[in-house]
Amino acid sequence: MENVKRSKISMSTHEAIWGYVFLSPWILGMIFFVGGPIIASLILSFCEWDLIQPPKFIGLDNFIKMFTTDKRFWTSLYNTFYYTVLSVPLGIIGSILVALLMNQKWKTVRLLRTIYYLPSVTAGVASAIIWMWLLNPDFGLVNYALSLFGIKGPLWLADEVWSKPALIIMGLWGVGGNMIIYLAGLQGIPQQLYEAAEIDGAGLWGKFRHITIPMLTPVIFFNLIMSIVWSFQIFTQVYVMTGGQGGPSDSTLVLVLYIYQHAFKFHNMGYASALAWVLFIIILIFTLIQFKFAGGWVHYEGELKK
Amino acid sequence: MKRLMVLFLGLALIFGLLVSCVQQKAKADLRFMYWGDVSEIKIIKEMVDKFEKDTGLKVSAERAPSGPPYMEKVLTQFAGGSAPDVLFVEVNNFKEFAQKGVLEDLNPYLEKETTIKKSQFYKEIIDRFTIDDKLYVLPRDIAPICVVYYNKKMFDEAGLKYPTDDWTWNDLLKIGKKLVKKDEKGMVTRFGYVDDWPIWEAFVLSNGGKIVDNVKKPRRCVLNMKESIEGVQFRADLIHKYGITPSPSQMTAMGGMGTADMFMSERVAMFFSGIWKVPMFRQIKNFEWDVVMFPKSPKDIRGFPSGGSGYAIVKSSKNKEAAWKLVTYLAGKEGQIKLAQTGLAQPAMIDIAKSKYFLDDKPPKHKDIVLKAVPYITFMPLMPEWEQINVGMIAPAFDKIWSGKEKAAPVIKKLVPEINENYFE
Repeated sequence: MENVKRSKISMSTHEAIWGYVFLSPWILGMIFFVGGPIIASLILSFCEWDLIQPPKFIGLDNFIKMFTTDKRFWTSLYNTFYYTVLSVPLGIIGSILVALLMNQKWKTVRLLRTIYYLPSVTAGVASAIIWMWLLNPDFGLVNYALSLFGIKGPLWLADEVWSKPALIIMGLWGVGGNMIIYLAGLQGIPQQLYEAAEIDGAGLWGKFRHITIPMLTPVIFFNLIMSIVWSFQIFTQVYVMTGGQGGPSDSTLVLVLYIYQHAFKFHNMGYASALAWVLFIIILIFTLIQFKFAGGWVHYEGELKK
Repeated sequence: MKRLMVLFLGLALIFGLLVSCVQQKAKADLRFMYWGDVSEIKIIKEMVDKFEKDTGLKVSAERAPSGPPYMEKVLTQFAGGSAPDVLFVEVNNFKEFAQKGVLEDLNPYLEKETTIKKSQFYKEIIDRFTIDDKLYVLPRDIAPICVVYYNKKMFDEAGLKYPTDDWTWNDLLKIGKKLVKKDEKGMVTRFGYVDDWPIWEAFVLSNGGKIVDNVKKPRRCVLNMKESIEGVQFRADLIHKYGITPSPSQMTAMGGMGTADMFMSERVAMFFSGIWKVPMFRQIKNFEWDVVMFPKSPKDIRGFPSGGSGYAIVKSSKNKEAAWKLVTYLAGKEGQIKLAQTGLAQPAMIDIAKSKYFLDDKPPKHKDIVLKAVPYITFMPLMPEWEQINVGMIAPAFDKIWSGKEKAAPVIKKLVPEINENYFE
């Protein structure tokens, strides 16, 4: 009896130890490579630091400057919101639609799924360059397609009005990544729910509206949070397509690009850190708001989350 | 447990290797940071080898890609307390270091030096690298941005005479218009003139305009003076009024093709840049080309912006005498001769720039224009924030002018007070 008990305890301890051993690369990596810099950047956000001379503590000056005199900060904030507000809903609707299509029992569906997923495993730089060609005002496929309908396409990336929509359209190319998650969600919906609904006389729309969507809400919720976080952090495409400038006329200057400029072009590390923390807080607030309202519309296993 | 031991031993081994690598690096007597293309790397290697052989000292020469990546690497080393001993810098990024007091004044070294005299260098570049009577950089090259490369074949076909140094903006217009070619749909297939990047400074300076009141001690931006605005507007007119220069959107239509590529693939007749494009253009097989000085304005004024670079010693270096010695190898006569022979840069030593090493019989024929241009150069404002003003304020505002949405005057008149308010008052 005693023997059994002892081995039970040691068994769980044993498991715990191995658990931590397997976790240790991430925990250590987090502490040394992420935790340290996070704390450092928080301290630096209250400093002026050009990397050459030692950091100088300046209190809240960075934040005051940001919110009062720095016009480019507001421009970058506006651009980031513009991108997020349009790209997130479009992305979610787009990926659900594609997931529904890819959930059909066609012969070629596997091939199609691969094709739709492909853009999300393509390197960001490569796809940005492809899109520069697609959006080329004179020879690009996008404007060619528009011309078939008699529409004269805009200058896209060369025009300050169309540069942000161009980025959003480009972002939609990546719907395949989220599609996979929705696809998994769709396939996780128990078939008997649909059968029951059919017996009750529900049509296609009824089934979609009252079964598919509610059952997908946890996945939608997850994707909503992730998409907002990601779109606030858009950088690679803009950096590649505008040569790090955010042009024309700052129309694609997003917040992370602005942080990059201050850190690595102007060498204002303190100010860049302050900007990064403001971005973090914005994302945090948005995420908290979503969790707050999630209870109203996200269904877990058919029950409302309290 | 055994497996864990193996794991730890393995980790210890890797760690040990890393440490020994770092130590190996630390064994070098001098550390030197630079950027450059293939031919420059070769020269630097040769000079460093020679230095090592002559002195018995070991040099660790580290290269980084030019521009922001270079600055990033150097500044990170400063921040980490492991700054190199010798730095390669240019006329614009050197001020970041010099004005923060991390560079050594080279005047005392130069006074004691027997192989190099200050008077051997162009006084313009010495002056640029001097702040408050302290010389922070021993110049390697000077690079007046005054070189208009032109395609001789296109001139011949159009029956045009080659331009000469006394040409003006009006001639540029006249010639440029004749060299533009369009297809049947009216799309431009060949442009008359293009600059390497929007080099609006050349138009401002050669129109008698200024960017700031005093380049070495800028107190306010004066881009809103009449002459400056006219210069900027003229560059915009080349695009939108006369159609001889591609607009930003026409440039994107080139599909990421750079302006130099346009010149090489015969899609533009004249290309404006510095002398450093020569090695690249020597690869051209399809046509003959030559260079001419950037045109004067109709006001008969000449003016060019300029680049240039050289070597500096970091104050924290523990081996400054040796560092100076290395600098004399790199920027000394032999280093400059080697550089001259690549055709890549105009040596900062006057005699070598005038010598057959630089003015050889390889194309372009009129390479000596860069020598004649030196007295007309103006450097960019000497202030650490200039990059920020240029990237953050001027470039986004000027985009509106280049795209043809707005005229130069209203944009600049709105922009300049903002610059002055944010950076000068």
